[in-house]
Amino acid sequence: MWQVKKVLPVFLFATVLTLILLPFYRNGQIISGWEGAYFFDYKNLFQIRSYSWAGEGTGIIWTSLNFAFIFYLLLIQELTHSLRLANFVMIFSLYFLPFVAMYLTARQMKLSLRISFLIGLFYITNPFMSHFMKSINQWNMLAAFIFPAFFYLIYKYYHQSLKLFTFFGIFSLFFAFTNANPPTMILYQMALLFFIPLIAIIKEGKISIVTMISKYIIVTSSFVLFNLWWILNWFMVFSDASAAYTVDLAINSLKIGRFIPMLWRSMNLSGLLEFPQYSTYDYLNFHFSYFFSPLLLALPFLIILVSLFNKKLVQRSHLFLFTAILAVIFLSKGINSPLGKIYELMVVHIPLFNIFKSAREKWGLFLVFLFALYFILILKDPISKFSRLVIILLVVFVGYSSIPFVIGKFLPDYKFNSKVTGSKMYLDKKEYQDLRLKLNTDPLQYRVLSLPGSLNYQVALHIEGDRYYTGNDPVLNNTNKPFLAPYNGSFSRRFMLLFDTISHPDYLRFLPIFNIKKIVINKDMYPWFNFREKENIEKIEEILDRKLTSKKNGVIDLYDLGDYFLPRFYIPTKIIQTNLPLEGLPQLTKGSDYQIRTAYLSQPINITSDVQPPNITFTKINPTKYQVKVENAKSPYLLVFSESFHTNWRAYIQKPQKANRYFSKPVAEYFNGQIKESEIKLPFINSKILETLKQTPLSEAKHLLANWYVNAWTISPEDAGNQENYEIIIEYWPQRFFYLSAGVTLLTFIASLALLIVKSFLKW
Amino acid sequence: MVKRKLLIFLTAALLFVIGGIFTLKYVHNYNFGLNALFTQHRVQPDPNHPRSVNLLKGDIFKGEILSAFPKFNAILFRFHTHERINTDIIRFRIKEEEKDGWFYSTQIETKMLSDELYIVGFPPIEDSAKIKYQFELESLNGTRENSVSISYRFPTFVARHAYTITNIKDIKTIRYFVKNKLRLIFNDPVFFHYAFIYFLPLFYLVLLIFKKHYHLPALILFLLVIKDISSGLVLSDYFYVSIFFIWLVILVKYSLDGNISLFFALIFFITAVVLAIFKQYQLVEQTASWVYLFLAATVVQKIYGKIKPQQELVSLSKFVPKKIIQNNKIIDFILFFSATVVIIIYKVIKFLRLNVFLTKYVPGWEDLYKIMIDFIAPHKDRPTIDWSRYQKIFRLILVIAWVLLGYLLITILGEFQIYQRVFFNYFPEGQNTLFIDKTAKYLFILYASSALLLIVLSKIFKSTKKVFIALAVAFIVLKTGKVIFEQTTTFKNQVVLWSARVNDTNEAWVDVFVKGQNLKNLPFKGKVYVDGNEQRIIRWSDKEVIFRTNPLLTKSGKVEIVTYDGQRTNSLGFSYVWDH
Repeated sequence: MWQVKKVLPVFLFATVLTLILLPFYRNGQIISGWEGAYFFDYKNLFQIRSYSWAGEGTGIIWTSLNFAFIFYLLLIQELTHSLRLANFVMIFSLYFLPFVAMYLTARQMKLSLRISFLIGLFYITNPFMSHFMKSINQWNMLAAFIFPAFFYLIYKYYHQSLKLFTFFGIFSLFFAFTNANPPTMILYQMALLFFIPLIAIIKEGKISIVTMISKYIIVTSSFVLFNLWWILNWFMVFSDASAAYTVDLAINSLKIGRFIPMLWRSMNLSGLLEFPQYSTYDYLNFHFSYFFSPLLLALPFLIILVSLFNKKLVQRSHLFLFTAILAVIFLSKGINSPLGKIYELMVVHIPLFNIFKSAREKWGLFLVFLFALYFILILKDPISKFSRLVIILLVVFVGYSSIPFVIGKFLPDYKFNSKVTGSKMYLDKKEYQDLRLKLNTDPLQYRVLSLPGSLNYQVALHIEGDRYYTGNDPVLNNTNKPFLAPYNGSFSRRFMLLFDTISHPDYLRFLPIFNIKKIVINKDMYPWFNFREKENIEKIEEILDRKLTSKKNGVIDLYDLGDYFLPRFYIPTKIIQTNLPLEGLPQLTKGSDYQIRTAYLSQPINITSDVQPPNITFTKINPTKYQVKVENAKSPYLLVFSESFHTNWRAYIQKPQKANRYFSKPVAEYFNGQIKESEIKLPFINSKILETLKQTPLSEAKHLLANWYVNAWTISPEDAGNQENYEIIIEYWPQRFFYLSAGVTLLTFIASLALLIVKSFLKW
Repeated sequence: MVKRKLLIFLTAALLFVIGGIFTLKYVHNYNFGLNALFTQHRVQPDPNHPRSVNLLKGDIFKGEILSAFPKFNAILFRFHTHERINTDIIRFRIKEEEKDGWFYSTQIETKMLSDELYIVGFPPIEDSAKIKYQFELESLNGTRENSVSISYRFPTFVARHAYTITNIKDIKTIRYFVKNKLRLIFNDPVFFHYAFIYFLPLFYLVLLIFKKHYHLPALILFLLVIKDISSGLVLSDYFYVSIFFIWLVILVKYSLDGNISLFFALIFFITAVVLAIFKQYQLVEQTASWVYLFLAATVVQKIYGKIKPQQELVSLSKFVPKKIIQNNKIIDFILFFSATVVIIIYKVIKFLRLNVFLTKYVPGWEDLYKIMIDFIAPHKDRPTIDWSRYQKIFRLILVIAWVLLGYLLITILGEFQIYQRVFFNYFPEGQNTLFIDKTAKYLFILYASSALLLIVLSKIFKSTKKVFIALAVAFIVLKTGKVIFEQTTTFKNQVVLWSARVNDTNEAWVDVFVKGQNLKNLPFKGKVYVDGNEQRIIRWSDKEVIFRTNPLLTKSGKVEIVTYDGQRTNSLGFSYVWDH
């Protein structure tokens, strides 16, 4: 019976959470939107992002989108065949996991069931967290889970090194994707530096440097070994990533976030509320802007402050934790007064510190956890007159801050302007589903052009009246085809030409070099951040209808480029050397001598395009590896690969005995069979993953930037050992690091589990 | 003992040096050099060009300076670069009035200029005192897109007279220089404010040496903090750091308990909550800063106490008068305080005979009062308030009135500075002139007439305490001041563009920096148009929008911005010369 009692608070929270989440799923809707929850087809997500590198192959790693959490959601989707249920589980987990971790931490530190429940509720419902969580960005939000979970694991297994190593490692592996955001990743590591001495003081009453260092080594080595599969690749992109986080960017972002009273708002956990107060923005802002709100919001800090008067509550652990709280308050106010210059100096002079450009969000999250931890320390001792007062005040605070949850307005609609009310309710309409099915079942490799061209990566899709789903495009993001919109493109550039020249008479001639085969017009899209193109949807339809075939299904138009499609690999029949920028393409494509198989280079090459190009057959093995079969190559030629240019793409010409292994029956033929595309499905791990390890790629001098953004190689008969028929493997070579480091992760996993089992058997 | 004295002496010397360095640095930065005498000059704005005097090719800006001192050797000019790098050349010439030839001529490369004062030096004129000089600034190649202006921002130009070791020949010159330099420094109203802050640690050191008791140092520190909060101005970090360390020294010197810092933190925290309820965010933030610093001091002392336990500390109950707090029990204090507030409210209701009204509409309110007071404070702990002592109450009211009056006067001063800051925030230059012209002149009239009103009312209501009349007048001044401010600054919420700058005109895709005001800090929600064509926005903030040109979209024309809520700015001329 007592066991049931132990899980009762968790069960109660789960039940209430389910009940308050269910109304959001009325009328076939799901909770989606903003930056994180726009993936809901986990099967598709798992298939296209099971590799370390982004589909664009441009040096962006999916730090950890191929994570176990997605596998768990995929499992639910596969078992129930319901995207909505998987979405429900995901949203439920986002709130449930942080609560459980905080609850278990409190329980582990010997707090009663009720008080642990109260601490868990405080952690979830306080104004900072309720605002933080409403972004439903899974890889960011679960940071709220990671802090208490890390603390719990270290606290629980502090004296059991092997268990600490194994369980901490497995846990960090399972939730590796929460490291996707670099500042959060660094914050976890900083938190570990703080957790270990704090736990040492609580458990041992003193700081033993040797013990602390040994525990820290255990935890860090566990993290590194279990997560090596992404850490190694992360180091590969470190320079690119750090280039994106410049000091200037950080300072500017911090200056944008500079307002008064930031220090005060950090203290009372309201740093994420709109400021100046904008009570009509959404319900959460409304709820926390009553005239008496400052009084209630001050309660948590007041409790901590007053507790310091109590001699029993001024032990080393309390002081250590309170010092950390003061430090984190200081950091979360960023460059605001007092002593804001110090933060600025830290950004400029401390390596990597410039990634903390969103000070109030990142440090604020850690601060909330420290507050909760402090309450645990205050209430850890037997109930006294003071602890009663603390409990009463916490109940009052939690009671007030949980009202948005109780009345089901914790994921509120928000007033963007007088015309747009943003919502996280997404209705997956029949025509959306049809479009996704059509694209996902198409075996060909191509890009989709998304129209109208939203200028912001968060689009607004009409729901009803003035309500709009707002967030990343859920329709195209859940397909297996990369798409082009004004807000995306290659790593280094956007392709505005595609949206600025729609009315140009030669518009279709601009599209082939982008590997676009389909154009999607979503008529639900609303220009809340404006559209790039000047034409309205009717005009675009009129232009495209004149030249292309289409399938129109409700609010979705799907156009096929037909003869204007240029496959992912091609050998140009015309090479134009030009110094014009991409925006000069209209000048280069005009005239009667236009050829679709044209390549544009900024440098001259010694290849004449007037000879008969060789025939090629290409296949995509995975997002980081392609194979091309070349036939009848008698003279030098240029092989264009319409994937964003990156120096890490390498071409390996195969020796004759190694050829002809991957090609199945072609799924498409282009240009009278001169280019063929075939489909291949290889298991994720296969014997060929490291086949190019000892091979020599074509020299870097032969790897060129073509068409302003893609890869191309000049290949001569000598490069192929004077063969006429041969195969080329095109590979994004850092994927090897993933295979190698994943092996280390697997070995660590098996070895530590085996050791644990052996040890427990021996004990037994 | 000798060691201690030496330590004190060294500390004092160090603090003196620090204070001196900061003060000299201030003088150097804001008094145009330590060795210089100067006069500052203003140019009356041209109504047709209220912001600055444009210097296009052939334009000549002429000025006169009556040199106040000998050794005239430079003029500092305030140019306006229009937020761009210009390549025009400005010819500078200077001569004595009514003399034919130019004494000195040089050329200024405008690419070297910023919006700060730029110094144009010439050979020192030893006997320049009381002689009038004429100077000219002439643009040689200035165009609309490539020129600078003379800014009206005060001082438009400064005549500088340098005294160097080589040109000071006798004690008389030294005396002359020192006398005038001190006069110039002391004429700067902000100088004393900053000098006080810079020498504050030294002042405290002296105070702590001679004061055996902690009351005065603590009281002065507390008053300084109150002054900071009530000023509504963010002071330099030097002040925060100084107060923090001074407080630590006070704690250590007088062996004060850490809870005293904590008590201060609590008081400020409660104050901040009250201020937050009334949405006084600037004051909230400054109060919160002191909460933070006193808490930091608490932690430092408590950690120090753990490392090095001290036996006899002055406890909170000793530090704070016993009437306010008893037995160092903060909860009891809070309850006592709450009970007092509730009882006073109850007594006031009774005194004003509001109880009859309340009983009629809220029956049982007295029962509610009894339940509440019993809950807050049991009968034995309940505070007793002697209502027969009207005299004392009246005195208390008088004290409160004086405090309130002080607060109102400080607020009026603070509001004046806030109004001035609005001009500084809104206009890119000439703010003081505009402030005086649009608002301050009415405020001065208000202040003068209020002083008159105070005198007249004091004569009429002779029997009334003057403090109450002053309070009423101060209140009227405060409120009327606000009305004047609101009426004269209707522009402050208007969206406006000040300038558009291209960082490189040779490129097709260039970032254009458009500076303005009230563009709303909502990135990418507004639009930028050039001649009606929408442009691609790169960055958006309240005061600056950056857009990127595109040969397909961008042409020369008028730049204007429409904010997210549909407000349209004025338009600025923009020239886009790229031609592919």
